[in-house]
Amino acid sequence: MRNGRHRSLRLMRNGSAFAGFLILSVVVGGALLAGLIAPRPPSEINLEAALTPPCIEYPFGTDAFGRDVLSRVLYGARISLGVGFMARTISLLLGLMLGTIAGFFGGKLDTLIMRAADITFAFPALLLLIAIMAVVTPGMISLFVALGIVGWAAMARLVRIQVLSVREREYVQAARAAGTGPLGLVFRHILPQCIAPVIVVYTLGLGMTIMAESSLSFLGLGVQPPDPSWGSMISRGIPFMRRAPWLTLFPGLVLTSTVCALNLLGDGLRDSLDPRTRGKEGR
Amino acid sequence: MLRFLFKRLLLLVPILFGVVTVTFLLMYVIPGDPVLTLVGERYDDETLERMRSELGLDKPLPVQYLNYLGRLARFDLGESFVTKRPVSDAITERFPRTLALAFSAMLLALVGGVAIGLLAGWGRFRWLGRATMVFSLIGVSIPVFWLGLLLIYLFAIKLSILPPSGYGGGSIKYLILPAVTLSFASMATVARITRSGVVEAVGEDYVRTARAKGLGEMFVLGKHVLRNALVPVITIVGADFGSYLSGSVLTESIFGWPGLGRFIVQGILKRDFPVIQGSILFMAIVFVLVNLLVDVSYGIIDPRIRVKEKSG
Amino acid sequence: MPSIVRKRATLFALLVWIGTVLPSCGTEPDNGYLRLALETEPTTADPVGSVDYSSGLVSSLVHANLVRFTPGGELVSDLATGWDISDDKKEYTFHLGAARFACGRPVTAEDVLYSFRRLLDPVRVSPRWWVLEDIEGAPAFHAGNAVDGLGISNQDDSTVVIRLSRPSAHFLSLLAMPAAGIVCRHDAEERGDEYGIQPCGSGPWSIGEWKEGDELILVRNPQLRSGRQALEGISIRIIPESMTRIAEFEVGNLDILEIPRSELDLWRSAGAPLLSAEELRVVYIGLNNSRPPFDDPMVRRALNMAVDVEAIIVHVLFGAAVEARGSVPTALRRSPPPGELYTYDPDRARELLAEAGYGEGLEIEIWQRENPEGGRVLESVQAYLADVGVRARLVTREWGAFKQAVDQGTPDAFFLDWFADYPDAENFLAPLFHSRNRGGGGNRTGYSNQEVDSVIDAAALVSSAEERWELYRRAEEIVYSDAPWIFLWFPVRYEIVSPRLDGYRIPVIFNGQRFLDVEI
Repeated sequence: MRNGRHRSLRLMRNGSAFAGFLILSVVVGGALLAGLIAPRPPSEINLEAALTPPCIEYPFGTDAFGRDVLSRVLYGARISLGVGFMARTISLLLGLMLGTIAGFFGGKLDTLIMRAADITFAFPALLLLIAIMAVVTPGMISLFVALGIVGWAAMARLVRIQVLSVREREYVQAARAAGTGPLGLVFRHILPQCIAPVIVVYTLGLGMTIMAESSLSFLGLGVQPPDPSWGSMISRGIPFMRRAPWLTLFPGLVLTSTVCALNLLGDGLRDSLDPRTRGKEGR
Repeated sequence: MLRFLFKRLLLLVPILFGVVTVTFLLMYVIPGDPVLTLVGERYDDETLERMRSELGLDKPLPVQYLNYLGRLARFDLGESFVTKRPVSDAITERFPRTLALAFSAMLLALVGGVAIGLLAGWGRFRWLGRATMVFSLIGVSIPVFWLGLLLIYLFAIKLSILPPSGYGGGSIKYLILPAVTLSFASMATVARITRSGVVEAVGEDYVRTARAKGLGEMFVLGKHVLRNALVPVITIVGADFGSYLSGSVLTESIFGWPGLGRFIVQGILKRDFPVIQGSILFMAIVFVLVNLLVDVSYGIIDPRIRVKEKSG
Repeated sequence: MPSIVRKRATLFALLVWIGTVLPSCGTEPDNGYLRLALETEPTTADPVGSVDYSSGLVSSLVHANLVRFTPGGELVSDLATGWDISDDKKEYTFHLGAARFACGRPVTAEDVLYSFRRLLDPVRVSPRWWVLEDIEGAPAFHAGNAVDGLGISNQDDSTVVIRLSRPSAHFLSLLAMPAAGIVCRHDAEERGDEYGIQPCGSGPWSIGEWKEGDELILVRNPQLRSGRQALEGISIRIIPESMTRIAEFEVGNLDILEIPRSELDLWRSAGAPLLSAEELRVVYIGLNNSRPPFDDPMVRRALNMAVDVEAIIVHVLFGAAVEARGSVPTALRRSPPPGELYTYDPDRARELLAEAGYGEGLEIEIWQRENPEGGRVLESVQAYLADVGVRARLVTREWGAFKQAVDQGTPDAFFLDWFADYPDAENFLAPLFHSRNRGGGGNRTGYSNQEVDSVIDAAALVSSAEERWELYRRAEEIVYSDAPWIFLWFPVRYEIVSPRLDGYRIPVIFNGQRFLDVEI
């Protein structure tokens, strides 16, 4: 593969990344258009139609309250993706801020921030999540924050290393000599260089965050009813695994393919953005 | 090497201190009264007061914190609020089981993941490569609890070749399903990393040279490619060890595996502070030590790398 | 294939092979052992510490009481072969038969005294101390003063005399609760906190082995007169996940399985011979009676009419419940429940709400405790309420936080159930509706009606079962028409037993089944 091609083009040429991108577009599209394309309101209860198997009227069947599983999967996309994006963005902002401070200023601040990262790392992640979710009042905000906090340290470490490697480069030194202030240096010269790996880690982490929400749901600590998240739909469908397998199957398939898509996309991004592995993928 | 080890061990002290403090604050600052979960549906306020003072929860927070640190310094993790038995007893009883599960899962992930990754990366069986990669992609993306139950239905009920759940006094066949479930996600990651490591190494000059020199293909693969790919694999498995430990939370519930993960979740849900603090601290120590071990093993596997900074 | 790959593949195959060649389904069940599964591990087998279901069950299998319940819910003699009650109904004299603890020591009146004092201990507070609350001097003793004033004494080695501070018709039922189990003084003193895992009682079973988190094996109490039980022992496995318990039953590793309602029609349509019994448990939505909007009985009645309980039972619960008209479960009644007051009638409900000044609708919060299995019905109620303009927001909290909030009267409404401590109508009226028990005592709605209070108080003094029931029926009727709750249902429990089992029935009260008549 020749270098110099446009990056997005390269990404498109990577077949599996493109597949990931396609799947993700469909899911995001479904989430955005849920209000238009969902056949029914997601919380509309119709007890007479409870546990209807998939049919023309209910393509994904209905749940124990007769709610339309398809509509819930569509609205669930909003919640699951929303939780993922919000949580990752919190991690990202925290990580960018603290990582840059640590890398740019160094010294005591650096030590302090990195020790805090070490401490966060020392907790087994899921346990920390469970502990946080068990003690705070459950709700979306708590979920964002908990998932966000658990992910900040990895992001901060990554950013710090990038900043360290960029900081001493000639053009940065030149800009500094030309009198650019620290903020200018960070925003104009240093951060743009960190974007690529950060995007990769952000994307790959999205999938993990969505999975983590489903694990929390299984323990009853995730998204609270009646809001549908894929994770909570699956875990609430588990007792019906044999009686009404469509309750777990459809949200499960959508969750699995979304996370798959995010991983494919993340890998593809890594391949096209990260100069170290560029062109080495044997295809 | 020894100096490095010593330095790293010394560094653990502030980290673990941080873990203790954060856990303590998490439990005590945020409202939620453990005594209320201890009494039944019928109680009176005086009983609550008395139980609180019996558990030492009526003292001011800093005093409770110092008391706790004092006990820790004597290696005393305290007694469970619920069962009134020493937390350390429960940990010694249960941790080996979680460790057995985590280690078998790690082994499976390593062996299975490397095998899949080699097959996929070798490039000779492209379709096989594709198939295994699809499998491993699904592996990372399927919720553990769903997978676990599907496996129970397949192997225990439909095929009836493995027991559905339980510990079975340590018999291997009870270990297989939970270990496979727990290893699945990590196996997939290992496979992906191995594959890209192999792909990368196959293009390197020294592998080409070795091949040109007429060394047998398998020899080349073994000697160079694998060694190259092993470093990131070990990193991943080491970093994932924490997720084996905490992932056991779900796996243990599904398979009725009497390990530490389930114990902690029970503790958290019942606000059994000594249990939560003791076992999270213990898990953190194990986790941190494993990471140290991973760092050390880099040097052994590949002398070219000496203790580089780990990237997130 | 490259050799390394082959090596790995071989190893993998080896692992799979090990799995398949080992004998297929667990250790063969020890003959004569009943195999049960519990969702949560008992926290203790000590009577004074047993608050949750699992602990209560194990503790009552290991310990005998003065009196006990049969599987059918009748009160019969256990350690006490007989008892006399004084004319003023305040003095109970129990005559102990010859029984021995599992450790071999005889059960004496001294042990009974010790056990009851232990339950009332002012230092190691038992959350269940209220079981003996009616005994003369018990509250003072429990508070740490007046050690001598406690109305329990032993006349000789086999006679215990208990004086009550006021007559209490259900006192004997209280003595049958797990908390009032008789422990061996010698062992309890010697073992301290370890008594919880190494108990010594005179019940039919004693603990053979407790594999923490895994399995609890009960064996016959060696001191029990032979011929009383057919089983060698009981194995109780701890399996948290209900689908896993089902799998274990299906492969033949369990003898008794409770069918979760999600699978009920699956088993029914397969023609499985299910056992069923209405539980001594009432499920309700408590309304906060002490402040608007639910201080107005009209609003409360309107809500009762807004919810189609029958439809929820049929469609959501798969018929596994009986509609509650009142609060006393069928098994404890001596006459049919009150006539239906709140037929499903959304129009009438809207009218009542409008009359009460809520024609514009109403916004409320309904709290529920985090309970993955049980809590999954509230959304259907929410939909019915929305239909009459009551927009209910569901708030889920962990048990401790839930209790704290509800007992302080924070939420407008809450979804909860009440389990019987003992099979007596009193247990479904006094704790739940007597104004004395507001808050943590059980009356969480803050309901207060002097007539109900006095009728319940009067019933406690009456010894004729007929007369007592007449009073309780009156109390229940008033409560039902005052509607402090949205009355929902009494759940029906479904179980299946393995074909090798004989003589088992679902007990009326959980500690009534001691597996004495069960055979394999």
